[in-house]
Amino acid sequence: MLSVFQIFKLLIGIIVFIFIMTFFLDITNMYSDIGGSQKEYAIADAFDKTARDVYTSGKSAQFSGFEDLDVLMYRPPALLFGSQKTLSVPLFMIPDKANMTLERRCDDYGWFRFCWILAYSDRGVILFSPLENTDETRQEMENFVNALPDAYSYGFCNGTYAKVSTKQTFIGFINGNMAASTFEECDIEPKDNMRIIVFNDSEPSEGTIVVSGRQAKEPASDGAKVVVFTNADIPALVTGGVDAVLYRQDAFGSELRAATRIMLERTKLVSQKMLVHNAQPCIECATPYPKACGWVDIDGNQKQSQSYNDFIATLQSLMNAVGNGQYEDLLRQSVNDYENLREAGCEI
Amino acid sequence: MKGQTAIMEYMIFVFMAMVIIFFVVALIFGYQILQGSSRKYSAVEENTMFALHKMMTTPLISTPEYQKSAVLEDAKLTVLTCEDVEQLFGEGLWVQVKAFYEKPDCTGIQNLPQRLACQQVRNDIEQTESRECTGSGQNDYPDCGTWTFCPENRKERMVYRSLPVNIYRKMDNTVMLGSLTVGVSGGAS
Amino acid sequence: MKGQTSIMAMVIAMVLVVFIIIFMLSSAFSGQEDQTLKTEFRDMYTNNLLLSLLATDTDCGRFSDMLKSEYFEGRTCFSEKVGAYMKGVLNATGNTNYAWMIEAEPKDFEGITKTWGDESVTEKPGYWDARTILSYSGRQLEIKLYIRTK
Repeated sequence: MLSVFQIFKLLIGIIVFIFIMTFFLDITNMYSDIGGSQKEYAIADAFDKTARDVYTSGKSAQFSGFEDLDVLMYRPPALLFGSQKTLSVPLFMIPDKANMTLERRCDDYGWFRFCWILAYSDRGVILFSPLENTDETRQEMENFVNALPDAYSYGFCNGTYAKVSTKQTFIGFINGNMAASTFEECDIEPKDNMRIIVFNDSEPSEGTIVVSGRQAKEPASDGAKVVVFTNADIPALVTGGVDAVLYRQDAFGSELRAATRIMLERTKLVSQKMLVHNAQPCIECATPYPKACGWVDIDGNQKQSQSYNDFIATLQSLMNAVGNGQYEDLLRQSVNDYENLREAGCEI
Repeated sequence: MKGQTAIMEYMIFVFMAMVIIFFVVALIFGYQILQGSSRKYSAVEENTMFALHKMMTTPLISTPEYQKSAVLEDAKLTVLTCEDVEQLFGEGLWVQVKAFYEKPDCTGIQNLPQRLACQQVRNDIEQTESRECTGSGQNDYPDCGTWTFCPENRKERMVYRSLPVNIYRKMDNTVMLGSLTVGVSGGAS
Repeated sequence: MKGQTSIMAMVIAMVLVVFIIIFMLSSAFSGQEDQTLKTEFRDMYTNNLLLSLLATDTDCGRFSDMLKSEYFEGRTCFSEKVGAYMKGVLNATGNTNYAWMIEAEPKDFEGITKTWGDESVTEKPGYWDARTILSYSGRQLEIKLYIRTK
């Protein structure tokens, strides 16, 4: 027969045991969640760091951490893996758990440059469905292929039949036998690492991007998503669709706006100060610019540079145009103006 | 009496055991929290490094021809604002660029008038070096040697990193030596 | 008596646990800086210092040209100016306690190695370095910068 004291000890022991077990079960539960997602965050952080390094250095890099993720999707600029991480630099990719190559690409406009990262594996497949098989379509297809990595496979989707080859072989076919071929509507199930580009003016079906002229369409819950794209947008369009193009155009516009403002203010300052600087008697200095910046003498006392005035005027118009998205022509004009300044010796 | 003492002793025994368990659990938790804050500190360091890298290589403030090394253009720096810095390189940053001007060494000059003249030259150069070029300082450009962006009052746990850079003086078409200092607030992500 | 011994044992165990906590706290705080980042920053600093210095213009010419003309032609502009510039930029970047040495070594021809700065920098381990190549009339000179804390 147990004494009261023994019963007391038993009860206390049971209570303490229950308390400790509950506590430890809670902690291990908490940590198994955190432990798992901590690892995924670490992978996403590592990818972001690799992208940043490639962005600033310009040197390509490899990344193979995605194989440890269960889920991987990309809606620029957010990497989705159960949770999500917003990447620090503009990046476009067909998400793939295989080994990825990251390379920096830049759209160079002389005084302005927009850089972004293209991440790709060698498992990407780009299928074309040229329902309108014209010269324009073939030219456009070649534009598309040239803008994309050599590592991808390229081919046609003709009804339920799809055949792929290397980039060079495919370009050879576009320029050779394609003109004599006819194509039926693509009827294959698109896989994750595959993109299907349809050239005609139809409504897009699930998993395809329809291109007609410079307009691209993708299916959406309330009709179709549409965007007008340029050659520079092609990698974003193919890898991420209409949303990726909109993100790219937004990022480009934002950076162009900042760059235009800085360059405009800077050029006004420079042209104004150069007037003063060059007008002052220089006792010991050497001529700072070899060609004396193409100054045009107006009245003997004041000098102006037509090249600087042209560039300033173009930048002013570009500032206004960036806001409404109609800036392509002005951007091209600014490139020419800047080149004139270099030829005149005002810019190095 | 003896029974009561035994119960009391037992209660104290159980209490001590609970305290030990509590301390062990606090230790595990505390260590994880400290590891977490250490990771957060690393994230701030990484953000600082990225901001530095980006500033040194972006054509927005550097000179196209010199993009191999970090050559910042003085005219672009002069018109840059805090809003630009925040938009282009990240929120919560404090940035300062300083040009290094060569100054005469007056210590070896015995002749007093010559030493005073040398000191005057030195003082003038130091004044130019520390003169602010941004904001209202634009009027002094190019006779200024410091560019500061964003208020430093977000000093709360700021991580500072400073690197040697080149500064291209547009008016003279020459390259100066200088420093680029970036401060990132510890609370920023 | 037995109960009192148990309580004593509990107290000793508690004190031990407290000591372990203090030890782990102190090691957690001191390990705060990530070693990889520290190395990355130091490499960037040293590399920038070397390249920026060589690209700098002075009233005697560009530092890279001054170094080449000192090595190959015996002019002394580089020696005269390098000390002040290195001191200035090290101070400006908050590193008043750094010692430095620059070395010019022939890469693809026979010749001597010339040094500037504090030659004791490389005598003990713990320094870090950066390198670049300068060309002069078809010959390549390897320029190395060594830095350490004093």
